[in-house]
Amino acid sequence: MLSGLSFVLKPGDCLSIKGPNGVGKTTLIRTLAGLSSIAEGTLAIPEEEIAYVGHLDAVNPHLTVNENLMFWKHMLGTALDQETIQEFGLLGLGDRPAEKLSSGQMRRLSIAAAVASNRRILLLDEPFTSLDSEFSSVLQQKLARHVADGAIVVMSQHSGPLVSGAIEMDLTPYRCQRFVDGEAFGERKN
Amino acid sequence: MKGLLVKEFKLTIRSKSGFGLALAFYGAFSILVPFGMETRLSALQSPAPAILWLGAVLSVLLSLDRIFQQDLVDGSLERLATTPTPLEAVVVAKMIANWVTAGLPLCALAVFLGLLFGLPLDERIWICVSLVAGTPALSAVGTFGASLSLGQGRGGLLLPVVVIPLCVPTLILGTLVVNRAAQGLAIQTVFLIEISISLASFALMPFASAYAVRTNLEYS
Repeated sequence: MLSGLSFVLKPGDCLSIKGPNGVGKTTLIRTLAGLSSIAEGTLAIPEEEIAYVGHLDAVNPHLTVNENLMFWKHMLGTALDQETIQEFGLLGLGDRPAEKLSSGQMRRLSIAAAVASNRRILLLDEPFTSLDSEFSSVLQQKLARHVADGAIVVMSQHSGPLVSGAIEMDLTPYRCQRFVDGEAFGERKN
Repeated sequence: MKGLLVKEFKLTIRSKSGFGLALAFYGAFSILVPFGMETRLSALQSPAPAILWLGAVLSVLLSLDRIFQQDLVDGSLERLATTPTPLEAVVVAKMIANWVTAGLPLCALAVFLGLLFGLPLDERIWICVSLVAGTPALSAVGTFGASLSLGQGRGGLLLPVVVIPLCVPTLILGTLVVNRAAQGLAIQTVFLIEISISLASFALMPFASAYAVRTNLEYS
């Protein structure tokens, strides 16, 4: 879906991917996370440093908030930063089944599980979706601190505040022409 | 791996339909079949191992739908694929969890269900032993089938079409072990082949299954 795209990020960089719906923001994030493969070119990213938050929350509704957090702690193989859990307002919700959470709380849990792992590369797909202004700003500040500490943050962003110092990238010029024309789907334009 | 297993067991115990569904089906199946048969004890006894084995295969099949479904729907599977835990380990955990929660209880239940067919105790114990040796293969093959049909949602046709033929060798050998033991014949070779199918399935299926999950995620 994307072609001719080339960029290098170094520790302390934050990349905010913009563009209209369907341009390939999620595809790019998924590719960086290793979920989709690239047809041409190279991708160099230390996979063991990645924490990924997709557009789905990866929260099991039948487990409690704490159980979900502990599960991702085990899977990511890192410590769980209690400060992050507190900042995202999850301390008081520990024993609540995730199915009883609102969509905003669910999103906070999803992001906190990844951010609290203190991984050096955060790949976030529309992280501000469903977050209210208070927690949008909590996330914004958290990501800014992460970046200042030398982490790399890549996020697709339609709305929400911009992390200070973030590089903005519009994907529209990199949209593969075959997809724009519909040729790739077998519907040529006359 | 430990975290995965703990999560799977918790979810199975908490889910309203999960844990009991395979058992209830197995019980109902084994109770109903004798009603449709001749009531002479000898007519019930000879097909009993095959019926109890077939019931176990169908019960395990019933439990396969939920192996990956929740993780796929809530996005956990996608995120798991990006963690340092290999997908193969995730699949192994799911196979073990499926066997412990769906396969193993059937083995215990079979000892009691054998009573309905008038089977003597030693034959009922052999059914249990052959199920313990064979059901791991059903869980491993079933998990592979579930990973192949990930994108199909619940009730997909692909799952039984893939899984049922792969269960046939285990079904034949499992029944053969019980029949031969009941007749006092040597069972060592058949029993060892049955065990080796289970071990080979557990060793090889995780790779095939993880590959299928990865491919499904790429196109999801």
